[in-house]
Amino acid sequence: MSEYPYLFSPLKIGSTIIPNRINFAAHLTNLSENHQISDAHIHYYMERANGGCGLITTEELTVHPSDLAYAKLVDAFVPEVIPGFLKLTRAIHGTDTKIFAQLNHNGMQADGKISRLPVWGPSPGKDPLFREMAKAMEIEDIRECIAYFAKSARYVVEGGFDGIELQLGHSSLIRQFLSPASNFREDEYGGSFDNRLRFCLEVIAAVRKTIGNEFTLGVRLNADEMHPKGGLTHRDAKKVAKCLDDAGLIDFINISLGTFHNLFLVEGSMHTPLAYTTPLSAGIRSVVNLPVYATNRINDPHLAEKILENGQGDMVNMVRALIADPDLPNKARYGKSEDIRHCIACNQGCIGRMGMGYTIGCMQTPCAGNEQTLGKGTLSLCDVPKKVVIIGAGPAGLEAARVAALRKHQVILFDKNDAVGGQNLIAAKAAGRQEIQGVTRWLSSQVNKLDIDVRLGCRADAEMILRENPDAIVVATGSTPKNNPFPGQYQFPQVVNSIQILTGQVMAGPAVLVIDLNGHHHGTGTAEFLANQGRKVHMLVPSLFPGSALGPLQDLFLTSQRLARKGVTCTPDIAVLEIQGTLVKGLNVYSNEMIDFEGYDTIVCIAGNMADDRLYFELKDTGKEIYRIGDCLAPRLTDSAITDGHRIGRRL
Amino acid sequence: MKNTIWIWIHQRDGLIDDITFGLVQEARELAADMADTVSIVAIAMGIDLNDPLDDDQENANPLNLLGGCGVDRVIQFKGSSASTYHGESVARALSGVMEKERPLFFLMAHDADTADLAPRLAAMLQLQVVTRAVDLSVNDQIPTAVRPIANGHLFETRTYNCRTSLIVTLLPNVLVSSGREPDQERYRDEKNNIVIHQIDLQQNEEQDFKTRIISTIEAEPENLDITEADIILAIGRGVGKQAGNETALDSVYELARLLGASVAGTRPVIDRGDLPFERQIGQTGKTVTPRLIINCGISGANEYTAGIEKSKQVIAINTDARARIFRFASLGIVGDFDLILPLLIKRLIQLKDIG
Repeated sequence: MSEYPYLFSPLKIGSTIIPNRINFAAHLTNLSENHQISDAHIHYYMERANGGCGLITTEELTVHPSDLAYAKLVDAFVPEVIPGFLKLTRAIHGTDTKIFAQLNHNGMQADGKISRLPVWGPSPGKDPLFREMAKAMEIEDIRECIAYFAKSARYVVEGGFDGIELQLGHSSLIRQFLSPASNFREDEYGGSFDNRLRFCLEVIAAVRKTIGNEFTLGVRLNADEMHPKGGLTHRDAKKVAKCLDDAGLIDFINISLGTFHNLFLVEGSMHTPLAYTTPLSAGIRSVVNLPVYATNRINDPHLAEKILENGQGDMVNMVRALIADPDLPNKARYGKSEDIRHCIACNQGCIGRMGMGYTIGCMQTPCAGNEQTLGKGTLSLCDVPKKVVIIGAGPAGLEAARVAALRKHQVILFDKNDAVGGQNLIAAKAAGRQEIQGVTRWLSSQVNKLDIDVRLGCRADAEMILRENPDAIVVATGSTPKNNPFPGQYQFPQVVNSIQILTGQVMAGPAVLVIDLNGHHHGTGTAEFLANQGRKVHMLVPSLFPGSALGPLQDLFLTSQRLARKGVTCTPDIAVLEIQGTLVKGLNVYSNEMIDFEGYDTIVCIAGNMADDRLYFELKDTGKEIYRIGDCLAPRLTDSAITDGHRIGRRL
Repeated sequence: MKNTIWIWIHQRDGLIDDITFGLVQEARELAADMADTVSIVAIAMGIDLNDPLDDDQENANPLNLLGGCGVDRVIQFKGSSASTYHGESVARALSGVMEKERPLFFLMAHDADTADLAPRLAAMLQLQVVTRAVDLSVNDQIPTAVRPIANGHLFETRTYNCRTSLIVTLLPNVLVSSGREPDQERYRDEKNNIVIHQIDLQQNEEQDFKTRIISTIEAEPENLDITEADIILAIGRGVGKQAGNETALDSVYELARLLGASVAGTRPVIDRGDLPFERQIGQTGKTVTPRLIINCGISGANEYTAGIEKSKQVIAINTDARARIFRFASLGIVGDFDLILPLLIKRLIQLKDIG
């Protein structure tokens, strides 16, 4: 019997039989072309269908021209979209996987920068992210919107989908009507609970009438807005769910939570617990007879199985888990759970890129979003096996070794440390960042399974490498923090870098000044690490606030909250000009005022790294095939290191 | 005669096991389902306890505790052998009383003993029996039980006629959740009201029985499934740093044997290949509910502690005094487990030697 009896049991939703309980839920991909389904879309979804997930729900398809919140939204309200739909659904139906289309109108959670039209909402108001005043919808607008939902639903049916999911979740016009935090209307669409529910029921009724009784239809319901002032509570959401169930027009309820007031809850980072929304799906499930989906940070089949077993949901949404590893379902099903590349919720490749308008990706693999060129089946055996020596077993070196060995090159991997992982292991020491070590966990597990000669604790020099007589050399020696990044007279151990703190090489004094030019987790993670050790920490940043790069990763809110709670203070807008002893001289970049920062026992500088490229230049003129990858090429983040490694692994 | 519901008193180390109070709770809910007044009778078998009439608080008979939870009467079989359960003799002793009293229900928690007793008793007296039930209720005077079938994929609801007694074993995990402590106030007031019937068990000769217990083979605690273990020794990344993995693991198993503990680990330990996946605790492993868990070299990441939340006593040993695991610990020790381990083993061996 399968290790996961619930996860791989089929489920009938409406008239659709889903082969297993894993749903690749709706999420933006920015893969569309001309507001239609693109080939990249089809490859992206096919990779997950081939990986064995039971259901795919497409990214939100917009139903009306007034909604163009994101440049790459797919328009479901024009008939031209149908051929793309058919191409997608025909491809997916070549597998056992079913596919639903999600229909949405983002309402006032948008602005008119792209459409050059006013945004529509139930009442005049501003979304905290887009900050544009919405036009309160007139009765005619409401009727038109309902008609467009129905029209789009017809195109979805003609496009060959198995079902429709209507978005009532964190970003949707229908939820804005439901919520007392955004609906202040005084007509029959606002005020009482029944009035706020009216628009939702009318949309559902109109869609149901268009698609007929046999076609599967459901909603993605916001199970709790967690709005600071009222809003839709979990109790309200249960009431909505009950009304929708009683109306008898829908077949399932998927859930989400939060709004743009608290987007960090919608796209929880590694600082949030695994499966943090399951109590809400369990709550909704307790009041309805329809299948309910559990969602958010369910990255492991054992966890998913447990949720199903506990009755906290009938389906399990996996999005980031399947972006990171499209084959998760099949690996789980066929006894290869230990090969799963777990999502670590770093949010760097997926949400971090998608939110900025770039195509979707994954920090752990460059294949995500590039399935056509890098996806399954694109890795070919090498023509002539080469003896490849890779120096440095950080993420870049490990990925290069893995890909090269898969292609049957003969690989020798050196690292000067006793364990693989490089700087990734140090990053995991920063406060709350343990999960980032999942990168090393997976890469090393794969490298250990392959025929790779791993030589740890071995500082390879040019002579030693040439003695191996390699056909190709890949230098992945990483980087080190800049020495003396600021002018002035100062020395170790009063002035140190974050690595020296995180590895415990230096114990900081009671009062610490952290200078962070980076804005990523290096600075805030080190500051919090020190605060956890009971140090009084002050930060100097050149930007408006600490953690300036964390916003798109949905890490900023919780990081700021934790730093504040732990007494970490900050002076923003400071350019550090020089350090003398432990005196730091800074310039306020707006007022041009000089400010002295003194009285600190330890100064921690996070001022960027320098490539450790000595070995590369020693070997460069030997006439061998040589590459350098990762930080020793240019110090960047983990995703670039892995992408470099992957690229060279394929090129060798 | 007044209607009664019987419950089986489960025991552990000479004391009443908490699960018994779950049975009392279930019996009370059943009684509430029925309009008639029903009294609850507890069956004590093989409990060699102090004299129930002893008034000394210190030595108060644990059976009196049941009075505080709503048990009206206890039938105690005296002179039974406490050490091993022998199905035939227990069933024979019970059948006589049961035929006389004709209880509406006889409730037991499902374990190795009752899995034998319930069907045996039912066959002897030609009564109805339902095993491994997860829910029991009375609807319009019709007893209704829900039980899992097909490996837990489906549940079936069964109804029974109410003319004869119904013997029920309930799955233990549906019984523990009530968490009701005996009501001490009520116990003080009512302890004199609880009636204890003592019945002397007839001593049967061994050859009267068709079955004989030759020996009981207990599972080695260190190999017991961690979800069923009473005591767990959990190891994390920090274990084996000093001494090396293999030496440390040998010592860990030695300690586990001395403690009667089952060995479990965190995900890095499983990744390292030191323990199999079945021994992983946490959100991506198993959820455990032991009476005692000792966390060694475990920092206590959220993903791990989610799996130990329902443990009763938590001990943590870690070098980092600020480790998150200490937030969950009832007893925290700051120190290197690799160094503490040999000392602990030495001390336990000394204690065992003293007896």
